[in-house]
Amino acid sequence: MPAIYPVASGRVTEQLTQARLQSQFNFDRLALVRLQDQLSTGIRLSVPSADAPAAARTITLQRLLEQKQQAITTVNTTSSYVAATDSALARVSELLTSIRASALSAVDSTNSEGERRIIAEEVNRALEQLIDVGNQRFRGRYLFAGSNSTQVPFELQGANVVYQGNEIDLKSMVDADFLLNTTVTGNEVFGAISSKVQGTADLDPILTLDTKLNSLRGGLGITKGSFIISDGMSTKTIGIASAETIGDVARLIESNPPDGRQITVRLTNNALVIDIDDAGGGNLTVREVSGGTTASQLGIFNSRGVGVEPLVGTDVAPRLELTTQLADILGTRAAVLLPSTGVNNDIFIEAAENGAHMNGVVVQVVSNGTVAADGAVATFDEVNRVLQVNVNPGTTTATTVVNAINATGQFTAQLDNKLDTDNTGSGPIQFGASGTFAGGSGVVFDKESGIQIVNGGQTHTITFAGAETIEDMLNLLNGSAASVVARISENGRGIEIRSRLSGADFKIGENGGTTATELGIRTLTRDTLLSDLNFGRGVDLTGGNDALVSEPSFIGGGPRVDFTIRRDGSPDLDVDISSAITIGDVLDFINTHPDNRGASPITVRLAEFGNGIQITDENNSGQQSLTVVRRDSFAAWDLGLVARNEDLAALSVSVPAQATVTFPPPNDRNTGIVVSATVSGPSFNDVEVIYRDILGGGAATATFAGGRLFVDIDAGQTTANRIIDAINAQGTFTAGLETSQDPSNNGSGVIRTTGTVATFAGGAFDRVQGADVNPAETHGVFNSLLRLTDALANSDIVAIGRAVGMLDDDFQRLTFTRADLGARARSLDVLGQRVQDEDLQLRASLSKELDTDLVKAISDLSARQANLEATLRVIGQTLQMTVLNFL
Amino acid sequence: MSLFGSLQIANNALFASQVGLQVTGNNIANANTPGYIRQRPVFTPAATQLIGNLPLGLGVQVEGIIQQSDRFLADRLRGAISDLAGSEAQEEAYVQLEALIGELTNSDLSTSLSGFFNSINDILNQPEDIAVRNLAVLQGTTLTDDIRRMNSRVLGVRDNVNDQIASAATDINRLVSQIAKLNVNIVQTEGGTTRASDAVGLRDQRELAMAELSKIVKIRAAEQPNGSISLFAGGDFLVIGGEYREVEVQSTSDRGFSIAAVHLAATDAPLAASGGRLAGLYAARDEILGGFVDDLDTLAATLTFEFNKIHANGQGLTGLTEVQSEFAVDSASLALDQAGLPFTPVNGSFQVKLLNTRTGLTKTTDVFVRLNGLNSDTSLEGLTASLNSIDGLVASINADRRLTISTDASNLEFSFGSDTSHVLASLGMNTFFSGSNSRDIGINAVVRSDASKFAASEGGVGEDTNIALLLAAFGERPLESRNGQTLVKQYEELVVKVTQASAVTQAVNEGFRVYQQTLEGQYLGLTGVSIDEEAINMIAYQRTYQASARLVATISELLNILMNL
Repeated sequence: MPAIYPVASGRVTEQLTQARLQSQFNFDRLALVRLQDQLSTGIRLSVPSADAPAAARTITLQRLLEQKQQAITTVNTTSSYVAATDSALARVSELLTSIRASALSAVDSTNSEGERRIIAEEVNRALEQLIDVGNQRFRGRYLFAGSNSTQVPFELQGANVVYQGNEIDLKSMVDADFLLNTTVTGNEVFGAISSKVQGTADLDPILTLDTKLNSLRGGLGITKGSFIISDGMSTKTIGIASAETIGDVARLIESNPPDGRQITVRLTNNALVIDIDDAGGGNLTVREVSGGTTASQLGIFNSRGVGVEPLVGTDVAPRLELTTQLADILGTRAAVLLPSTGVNNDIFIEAAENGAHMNGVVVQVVSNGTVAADGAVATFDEVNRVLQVNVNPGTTTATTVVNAINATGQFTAQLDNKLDTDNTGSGPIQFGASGTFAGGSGVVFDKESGIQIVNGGQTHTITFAGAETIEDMLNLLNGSAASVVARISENGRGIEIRSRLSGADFKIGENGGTTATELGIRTLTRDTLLSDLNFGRGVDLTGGNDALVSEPSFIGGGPRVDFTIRRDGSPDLDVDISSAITIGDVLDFINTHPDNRGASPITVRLAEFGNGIQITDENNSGQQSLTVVRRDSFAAWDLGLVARNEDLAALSVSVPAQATVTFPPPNDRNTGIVVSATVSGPSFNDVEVIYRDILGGGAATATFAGGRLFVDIDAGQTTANRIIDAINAQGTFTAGLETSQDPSNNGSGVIRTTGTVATFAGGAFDRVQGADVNPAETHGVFNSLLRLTDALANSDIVAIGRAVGMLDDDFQRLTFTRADLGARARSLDVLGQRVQDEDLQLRASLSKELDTDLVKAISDLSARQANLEATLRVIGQTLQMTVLNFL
Repeated sequence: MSLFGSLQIANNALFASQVGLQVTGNNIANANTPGYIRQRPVFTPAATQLIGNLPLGLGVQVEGIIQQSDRFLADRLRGAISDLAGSEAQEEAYVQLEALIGELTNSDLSTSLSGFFNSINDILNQPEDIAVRNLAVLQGTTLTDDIRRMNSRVLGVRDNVNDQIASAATDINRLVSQIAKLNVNIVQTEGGTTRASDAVGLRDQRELAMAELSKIVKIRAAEQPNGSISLFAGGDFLVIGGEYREVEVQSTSDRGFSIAAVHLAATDAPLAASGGRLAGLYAARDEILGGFVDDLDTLAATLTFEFNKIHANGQGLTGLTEVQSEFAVDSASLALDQAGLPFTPVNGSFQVKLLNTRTGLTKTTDVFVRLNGLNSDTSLEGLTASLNSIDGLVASINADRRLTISTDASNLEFSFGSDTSHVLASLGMNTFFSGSNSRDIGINAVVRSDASKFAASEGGVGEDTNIALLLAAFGERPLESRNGQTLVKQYEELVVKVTQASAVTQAVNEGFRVYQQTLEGQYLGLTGVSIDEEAINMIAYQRTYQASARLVATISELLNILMNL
């Protein structure tokens, strides 16, 4: 709009008239151009500043519109995936329905074998079709592979089906802040991964300086706020916003002590310890800053105060992470700080291994004139539990002491930087300094032994000897051929292992050590309920099933018992486990059986190798008569002690421990020997065979002392035959030539290697090795069908029934998944409609803001036109008017 | 009193009328001359003669010719001209800026932003499709190109404004020298008398020159008793009498560019420009355009750093085999937060995940970046040592102080994750955007050459799309570094700021224009020529002339009678 400005009072001059008319004319033309612009572009605002608030609204509207456009695209794409998935699921459902009907007919025991074979054939075809559906591709994506969508999800591996996909759903942003899963994983539809073998053990990772704050409190993390530390006189607020690790927190606290004080922060295995110097007195308190929770979360909140005593925090529960060191789980090493007055001489000593056994050991620094200048001798007296360090008075430095302690092998020492920052270790150690080890707990993780996994009929032995971190261990499991998925459990306290294989039993047991037990991943444990065994069928017991009373007893007469253990020379053990609840109860019943006492009781435990109940007879009479006899129930079968449809257990007879001594090329010819203990049993297991080069003239002598077999030889001269003779002459062992690796071995080879050359292993007593009757399996379509095929082949009516039952479960799961997918499809439909509506509304709003109001613009244009005409007329007339015309 | 005396009176009257007519003629002739100030003859009655006790008038005498002007009004008008010119210069800048931003169209930056984030949404829809990732990279390229283009175009306008500032100096010098010369001429012409406006034409010229100068720079004028005018800009005089000070253009540096400033040549002090076009140009260059570039830089930095912070935590469809950091440090031994990186890392850690492509297994290692300022903060050297201690990884610092990481076996690939220290984004590794401001923003060379490196996954190479989820919603995500503002809002604020400032400037400008035109109206009303008025004057002079001539004729008749006696 043209501005209105006042007409100057007083005179009207030619130039004034001209200027005003010109500006008036200008305004009119400008307004006309603007209107023409609006009309020709259809847009009301030529530049945003023409109507700044409307422009701001317009920018937002345009952005929302652009987002809605994307939402429409996303909804369309997602719908197409969901529709394709749904039609695949319909196909699965169809196939399952027909199979179930056939299988149901097979449950009828009157069916002939021929009929069952036909059904089995049908099931096989359905299986192939289902795998085909499971591997369906749509728009370049395997629909059922999870997020691993370029990987064929299902593969037939021998008689089993293995799932290669994962359980991660892909998500799309179908609308602002609305995430929708666009996939269903193979596991959701088919049940492709077994239920987890959840680690029951709490691996209890310890707190280290590098433990991240966000892995504390079981992974909840710490709110990075502030807290207040006070000694009663001076107060310091400590903000930990920049802290990443617990070590950062410790450093922040230490570097901001109350005025004039010194604070040190230590870590126990799971908590912070804050210690204020004693000299200043006062009362150490840690409080929150106005309603914060940081101190409480760090476990160091203490408003009452601890005086000058150390403030020991509560458990901050660090979570197991991929990078957690295996050395930092299952316990802590006892430790002690050995401070000396002066600088560069504080030493921190740790026991070499986890465990409480070193707690209470006293470390003493003793002045000893016989020790050389700057020398130190450390000795550990296990009986008196004293670690004594003899030092030269005044000259021995901390570094020397550290080396001396490390040389003991039972302790590791390092220079401590806590009190003594930038400790170089060059300061003299203070004699008389002492301390007591504390804080050791737990056990050393047995990573060398490893575990045995039985999956798909194959036994896989996995050891963790080279693993350093949890991730290394998981990688060894995931990378093994055992087809398992291993990961850290959700609560962050242990690991869990699951099988990717359908159609087979999945068992985890020991490999001679305690690895699986420590990780809590045995499939059969002492705590396993009997009712859970055999896929939940439980254990048939005399007391539990009266129907079985009528079963003919294997041994007539006497009270009803579940099974009998027979053995050498001692009375039979009649075992009645009707009151047992868990496997542990069964083991205890037998071990404490009234008849199982005396010189050589039998022992029952869980298998050392693999899993299952293991009965050992340590009576080395050589009669080898240990056996288990099924009696008045099927408990012996159901506990896996006696093979199904058998009455007696298979016995693995006693064997002596054996060591095989071989050498790598070029010394591999005619040098190998095999040494066996003369008596059976495990007592010689772990005995080392040590060759010592201390003789001359090609001689050899053997001695057995301190649990080691020493063979003294003349290295480079003594032959294998001479060694065999020497060992046989000693008497505890028998030796012979090794021929499996070196078939032409004649024992003439010269021995050049010394040191520990072999270790005895494998010695065992008579034992009955039970089976693991608590296998896990993959609950899913493929498993059910594969099991059904097996059962049909074996005409196992019970198993067919179980398979049909499982198919019902599968059907239920499928129905659930379909319902879920259907709900998603519906919500996509609704969303699609809504997004379209919103799009329309946004366009309407945008149009209101941005588009030209044509009626208004045209009427404005006419008005402006009239204005301009008037202006032109006025210009013409005004300029003509002059008094000269009238003169 | 004699007849001859009366004749003399008539003679004077004739003369006065002639002068009157001449002035009227002059006024009429200059009715359309810009800057012309209307003139007026000043008539006074001649002294009276006492004959006997009769005081007889001696007719009229022409006192002088004066200009019909108002010095104070002229002063105010000049001030208004300065204000208007300054504000117009700013308005011009805004008009150009708004055109450059081009908001409300379909080719604006907000469309590029939406397009980019939409393309990441498409990655979520089809994470397995490499073409979709490629499209996201292309959209990112469009976005960064748009930002860079906007930057260069705004800088182009800024350059142009800068040139205008430089050329203003020439105009100022021309005008002050002209005014100084006119001062001398006027004083000479008027002879130093206090009678104003003897040198009428010269004064017109001077008035015109001053108005022109006011347009460039706001001046204060003080008329001296001798008729010369002293001009001041701020506290510095530009003209005193015949003396004037020249100005010159000096170049200084601002935001990495050479900019011109007008200085007084004699004192080397900057010319105080509190108004006028020069002040407007300064504001346009430094505040409007410069400020906009600053805001655009902030936007680019936010986008780059914050987006990269997320992207650096992710993994693509394939792992990395060799990367080089984009940004160099000042010194490899300095703590990383002191090493002159465009973005500053903080205390924290990140994970390196080493993928064995043969087994498909990943080995994760924590790398700690200690920047707590308390003890042994991590430098690039320290970081390199930490990375080197990871089996399978080789890290080195090259000659231009950039970090290079590669694997030592062909079956190994690495990726990063969980970077709480932001060191990866700070160094420019595993990032999406390169650069740090609106001038150099671009796409990281690794992603540009291989879109499969677009890091959509959080749990491992090609594992999930969690990072892409964050990135797709990035535009709408409240940013801690922006006090909870989102990137999209930041951009909108940038645009709205310009829009509103532009609207305000236009309104202010309108106000100045009305004020200036009002004053000019007054001024023209006072100084302009009215033809009608002149015509009336002309008739009056004519009549006076006729009457006086009649008087001469009458006296002549009377003298005839006398002669014929």
